[in-house]
Formats: sequence, C-alpha cells, structure tokens
Amino acid sequence: MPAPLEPLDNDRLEALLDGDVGDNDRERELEGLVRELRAAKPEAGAALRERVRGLRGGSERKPRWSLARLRVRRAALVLAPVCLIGVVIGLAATGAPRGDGGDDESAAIGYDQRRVRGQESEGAGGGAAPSPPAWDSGDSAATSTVPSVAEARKLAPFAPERQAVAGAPAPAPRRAQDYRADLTILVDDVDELSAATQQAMRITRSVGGFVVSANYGKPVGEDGDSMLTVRVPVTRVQEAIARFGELGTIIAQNIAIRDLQGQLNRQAESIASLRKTIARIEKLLEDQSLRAETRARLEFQLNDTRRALSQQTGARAQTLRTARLSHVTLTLTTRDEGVVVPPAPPGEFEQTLRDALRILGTVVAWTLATLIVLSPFIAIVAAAWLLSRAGRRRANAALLERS
Amino acid sequence: MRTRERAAEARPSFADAAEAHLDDVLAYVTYMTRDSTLAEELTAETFERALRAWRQFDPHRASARTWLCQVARSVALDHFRSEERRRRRERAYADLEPREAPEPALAGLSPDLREALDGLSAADRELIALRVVLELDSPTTAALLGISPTACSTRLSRALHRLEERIPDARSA
Repeated sequence: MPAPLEPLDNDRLEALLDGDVGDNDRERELEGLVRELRAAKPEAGAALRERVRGLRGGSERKPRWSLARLRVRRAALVLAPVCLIGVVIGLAATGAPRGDGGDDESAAIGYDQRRVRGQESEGAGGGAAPSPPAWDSGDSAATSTVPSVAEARKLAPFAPERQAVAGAPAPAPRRAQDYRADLTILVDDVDELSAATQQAMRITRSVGGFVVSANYGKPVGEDGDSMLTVRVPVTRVQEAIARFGELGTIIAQNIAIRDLQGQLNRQAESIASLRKTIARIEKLLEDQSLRAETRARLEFQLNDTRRALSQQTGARAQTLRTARLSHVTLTLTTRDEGVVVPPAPPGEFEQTLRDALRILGTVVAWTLATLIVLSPFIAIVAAAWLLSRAGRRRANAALLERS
Repeated sequence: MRTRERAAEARPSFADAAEAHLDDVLAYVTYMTRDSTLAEELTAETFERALRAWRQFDPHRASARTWLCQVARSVALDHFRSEERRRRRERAYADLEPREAPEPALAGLSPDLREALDGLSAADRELIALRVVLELDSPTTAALLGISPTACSTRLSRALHRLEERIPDARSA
C-alpha cells in the first residue's frame, strides 16, 4: 500500500503553479495535473458567445448612487451643506455675535486695575482717576415701580449715608442690591501683611460688619498672602473699601452689583396676593351652612396658601438679608506683579474673529457631544453589520462544502 | 477632467471585457457546478448581472476578470441556495422529482481526473478553478473569496492534496 501523501508546502506549491520545475516524482506528477487542468479549460460555444454579445445592445443603466463611487469632489459637495447646517445650528444655539452684552439684572463692572497710593491717585492733580463705568441695572431707579410706604420704610437702610469714595460706586438709593467687591492690596512686607490683616478685621467690625472667613497663608521667604471674606452693611461699603485702600496699594478692584429690587417687588406682590386669598377663604369658612366637602376643599386650599405665604415670606426675608449686607473679598499680598495695563477693547475684526471661533467651538462641541451620545448605537450597528457579514461568509462556505 | 479621462481610458467597455473573459467565467462556473449546460446558463446570467452593474466596476480596485468572477460567484451561490431550498421542499413533501442527468462537463479531462474532481466539494473545485485554471494570484483569489492569502494557499494545498488522493482511487475503481 503506497504511503499516504502529505500536502505540499505552500511556498513550493506557489512556485510550481508559477512554472517552477518539479524536484521529485510527486512534484512532477502535480505539474502534470496542473498542465492537464489548464489544457482542458472549457471554452464558450458559439451560441453562448452570441448570447453574451447580444447583451451589448442593451443600454447600460445609469448607476445607482453608491457610497463607494463617492470621490473627493462629491464628498465635498455633500459635506459642504452639512457644515453649513452645523454653522447655522451653532449660530442659533449661541445667538448673534454680541458687542458688549450683559444680563438685564446684573451689572458687572469692568475689571478696574490701577495703582492707588493711599488716598493719592497717580499723576496727582494731573490725571483724574477713571470714573466708574455706568452700572445702571435693567430696572431704572427713576422709572421702576415705587414701593409702598411700608416697603419704602423697609428700604430706608439702603439710602447712602456717605458720598461715593473714589473707585467704589455707591449703591443705588431706594433699591435693594447685591453688592460684591473684590480688592487686591499690595503691602510692603510680611510684617505689614500681618498688621494689615488685623486692621482689616477691625475696620470690618467698626463699620458694623463681620468676618466670614480669614485665610492667612504661611509666608514663603519674603512673600505672603492673606484673604478675608467679610460682610459689611451696604450703606457703609464705600467707607469700608476706602479704608481698606489705606492699608496699602490697591492693585486690583472688581465691583459687581446685581439689582434685587425687582425680585423684592415681586415677592411683596405675591405676599399681598396670598394674604388676600387667605382672608377671602377665611371669610368663606365663617359660613356655617357650607357643605362638608366644600368646607374640606376650602380648608385644603387655605393650608396650601398659608404654606405658600410662609415660603414667600422666608424668601423675601432672605432677599432683604442679601441686600442689607455686601460681600467684600479682600486679598492682601506682598507680591508685586507690576502695573497691569488694562487691555484695549477688541477691534471689530478681532471681535468678529472671536465670535466666529466661539461659534466654531460650539459647533465642534455639539458635534462631539452628538458623536459621544450616538457612538454606542454606531458601535452596535457596526458590530451587527460585521457579524452579519461574517455569518454570510460562513453560510456560503458551508453551502459550497455541501454542494 | 483629467482624472475622468484617465479613468475612462483604464476602464474597458463592457463589450470588450465580455469578449475577453467569457471563457474564464465559463470555466469557473463549470468547475463549480460540474454541469456544462447549467454552467452556460449561469454564465449568461453572470454577464446580464454584470451589464446592469457595470458602472459600479472600479478598475482601480480590481481587474475586469476578477470583478466578473465575483459576480459569477454570487450567481453560483444563488443557484446553490435555491437548489438547496428545492431539495428541502422535496424532502419535506416526499415528492422526489427525478432530475435530469447533468451533461458531463470538462470533457477535455481524463476520466480519472474528472471523476476525482467530481468527488471534491464545490469549495475545493472553485479554488482549483481560480488558482490553477484561471491562474489568478493568491492575493486576488483571497480577496475574491473573502479570506486571507495564507488561508487561500493552505486551502488550495489541501484541495490539490485531496485531488491527488482521489486519482488513484478513481483509477482502481
């Protein structure tokens, strides 16, 4: 019985198929096999040839759209409107380019960076200190709803007792406001830093305020910092800021004022309305001939209204507390960063460029967010497609094995 | 415009491609089906399908011969699937219709070799047709079959090995 044949090495087989001469009997037999197979290659008969030639007469149909045929130019034609739509969405999401926008209710004063030596300003007698920018909030003090007498009495504490000190705008009279100030003051050395910090706390207490937090950093070499967060009555905040300024050299100052009057008025109106409702319901409940279910419904409504009144009263008290006391953050430092020149306002081109980049950033962010959200679904679809392709291949292979 | 002109030059017309590769497609389908009449039918169907899809043919991705063989493979697989469904129906209803005896294909081969080929599966015959008879290279054949070139070479080696083993059996029979 002849020994079983082993399959030929792949490389050797390739060489034989390419025309290499066999080295042994087996290879030469295989060569003969290949020659015989190639020589007996079937040829199409005349009938089949004519039949296929007859197909040429038919028109070649216009191609259906196929992703595979998409060339770069066609891809650009598709992508261009997609990008345009993305830009439009970005514009709609971010709004039109703004000049110098601001909220209706808050007026953040621009970062005011200057050096003030004690009470002196630079170029004493020559240059005037920059006037505080306008910070009139949305509700004009002159034309807003005049509060009731009772409200006016409650608002009296907001009337300024002193005139504005240079650099710190005065709170508006007769209006509730959230007044916040950030000051950075340069002192000469760490010894003075400690003394200035203690003095700042004394100033706070002397104007009727209190210290919320004090953070005195351990000095490193000749440098040190301390940060105080204090709350002072809004009527004396200018005085406090001026006295803080005397502790050293002001190198940065930022004031933000948010009008709370509108909010306070709305709360007062709501409270008045709720009280009227309570009075009306109580009057109705005095009627003894009320049906049980009507009485129950009215009592339920009364409880609800009283609860709402309690909430509104609490909210209004909180608003008043916020408005009565200003927030001041005071940073004392020995680090001399030098005079910072305030940046010039951006020109029109630069502003347009910034707006364009902002819109582009928004579009990119939205696109990334969409991709992140869709990525699991895309992954699932891709996996399903790959699996189905692999499944089809296996099915075809099995079919050919069976045939 | 230049790219389009170059593409037009590289891309043959359907008529030229059909004329040049009709025998190749017929040989391929004959090896798969072992029935010369059926092979002619499927070959004609292959070219009909190819004509409809001719604009999708990209000469940069594959030669016309390879593309036509791919279409032929698809046509042959459709035929095998429909045959399998037919046989399942026949088994289910116990109504075995006698099939016409297929016309012997590959008449140019020796009886031993033909008989040995008949004993191989369609997958083995397909591989022999593509690599040996049509002389397609390993990467092209692998791409057509959707397998790696290494797997293609290995399968061919095994198919020829099985063929070699069957030839002595055919002789002794």
